[in-house]
Amino acid sequence: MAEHVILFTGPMGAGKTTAIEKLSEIDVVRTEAANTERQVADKATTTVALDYGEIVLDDQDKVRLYGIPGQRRFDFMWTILKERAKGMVLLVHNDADDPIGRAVEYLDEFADLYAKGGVVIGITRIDIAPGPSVTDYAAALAVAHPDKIVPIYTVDPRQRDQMRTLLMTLVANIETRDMFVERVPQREELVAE
Amino acid sequence: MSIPAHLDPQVKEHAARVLAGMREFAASMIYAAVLTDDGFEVADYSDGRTDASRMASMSSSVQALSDAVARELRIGTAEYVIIASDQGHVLQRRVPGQPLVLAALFDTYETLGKAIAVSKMGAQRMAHSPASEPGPAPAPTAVPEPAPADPAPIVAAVPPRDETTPRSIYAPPVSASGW
Amino acid sequence: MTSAEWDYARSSAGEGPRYVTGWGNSAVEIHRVGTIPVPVTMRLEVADHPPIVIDFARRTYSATLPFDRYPIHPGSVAITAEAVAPGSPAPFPGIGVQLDGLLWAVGITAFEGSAAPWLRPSDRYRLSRWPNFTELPHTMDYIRMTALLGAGFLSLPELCAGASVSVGQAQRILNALSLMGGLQVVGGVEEPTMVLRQDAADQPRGLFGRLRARLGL
Ligand SMILES: Nc1nc2c(ncn2[C@@H]2O[C@H](COP(=O)(O)OP(=O)(O)OP(=O)(O)O)[C@@H](O)[C@H]2O)c(=O)[nH]1
Ligand SMILES: [Mg+2]
Repeated sequence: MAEHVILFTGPMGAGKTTAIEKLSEIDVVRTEAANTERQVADKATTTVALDYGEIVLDDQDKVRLYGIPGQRRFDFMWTILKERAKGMVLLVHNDADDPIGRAVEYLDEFADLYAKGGVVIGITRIDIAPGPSVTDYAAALAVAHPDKIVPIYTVDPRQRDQMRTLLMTLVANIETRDMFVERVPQREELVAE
Repeated sequence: MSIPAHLDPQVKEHAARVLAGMREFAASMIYAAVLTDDGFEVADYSDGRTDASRMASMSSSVQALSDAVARELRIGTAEYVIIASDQGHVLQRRVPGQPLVLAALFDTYETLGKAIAVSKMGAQRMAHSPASEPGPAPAPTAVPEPAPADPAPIVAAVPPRDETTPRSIYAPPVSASGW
Repeated sequence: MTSAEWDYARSSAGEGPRYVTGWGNSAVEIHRVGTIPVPVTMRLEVADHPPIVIDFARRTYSATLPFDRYPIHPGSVAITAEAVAPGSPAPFPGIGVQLDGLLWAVGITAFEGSAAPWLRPSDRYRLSRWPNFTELPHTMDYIRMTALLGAGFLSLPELCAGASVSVGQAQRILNALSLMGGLQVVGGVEEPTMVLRQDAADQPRGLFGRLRARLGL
């Protein structure tokens, strides 16, 4: 039985809990606490340990969806949760302070996951803050990580179909990476050299 | 919007007094903190070796996870959480009626029963914080009796082992109700 | 930019309207004008339909009718392109919408399942930027093909094999992505250093295939 663990990361208020609620087939295990930082994210509660949801594949297998607490003071949970993860959905809300900076920060924080698995980025709350654009994010990431092409989508985590597109893109990315091998030179080429 | 507890000087002061009171009652208490549900430290009593803000975050996560387990098993809300280890036990619980958690570390020489009792006392005193009850700080004699609905702790009345420990004005009277 | 380059760019943008037939010829014109290195605006007028106006500099366009309400095989499209000074206002009121939406629609449909004329059979392709799929009509096959193109340089047959799709399907996405400027295209016969595994193709047991079936996508 393979472990399919997908991590939802990103800053406080990006929509991680909302996204897992939309994707999960089970009642999501939530660890919300009353939010005392209304100036950072104007919402009643914030995740303080994890979110947990599932998509059941069959009797044997499920895709496990874990959400991190967005606030850095819970980074010990990040360390615990990222160990088993195969890939990460990074959500960044466009109305955050310096949203592109936040995206780069979280990519760096989860760099090993970025290296071993896959990453997709969802820019949320674009109805509230239309800019920066996908192109702006892509340009900044190309500077920070020139070797990788990361899918960047605008998403509304409250829309199930959009979250599914994001999730399927991540899975496609992780899987196709394993489909390539180093080319073995043909005999004629070796002779020619 | 009211001031969050960790930014309210009155609540912070009250919390510090509650923790000091617990310490006077249980010399085995190495570290204790009051924190907001979302992991901000309100006050701490510390040996100076513990990173109080990090502990506050961790206690908040532990509390939320314990509550999630209790919810999942449909056993009501977690009354308290114990992490028992070789060199001490951590006991934490919610402050009744407030978005606050009280966490304390006791050394292993302490009986679990007393640790539970002391932490319960602290939480009850913390419940009467000046922010929620405007006016003069509660008098030390105003220690609340356990609410009748409150389930009894596993080990209920453990008399203080060390009777020479000085009683602070915050220490509860030892009563027949055996808090 | 020197004035000679500017003149060249202006002249390649063209002056009076060009009349072409069908979306394929229109796509060729869009592809040609879209690579001109100065700000260019373009107007496409399908007879009896409202115009489509493109602002290449801002990568936006404006049209009062959705693309699928235009004829599939327009008999006549009048195309005007104009080089404009950098920083010129948009050629339409408002801020328009993302140009990718139009180019994706044109690219997917224009040549049906055949190759766009700017692509050669010996070419290999690699993704240079991900399309924003939540904004574009898509199937799971398109996502899988895009992921493959993101992982290495592939020829058309390799893309078909890797994603288990028909030549026509693979060709459509290559046409669209290249029209959007989202593909690196290398010509010639040289084999890349990373190649598709022999058994790579059919992966119904893979997580993507299973999740897709489970979610009914
Ligand atoms: N208008 C709008 N609201 C959104 C969008 N995405 C998310 N939201 C709302 O923004 C809030 C996000 O909250 P959460 O899902 O709790 O965010 P989180 O990432 O889990 O935050 P933490 O757990 O605190 O780190 C919710 O109230 C969502 O309904 C969006 O695209 N548009
Ligand atoms: Mg959350």
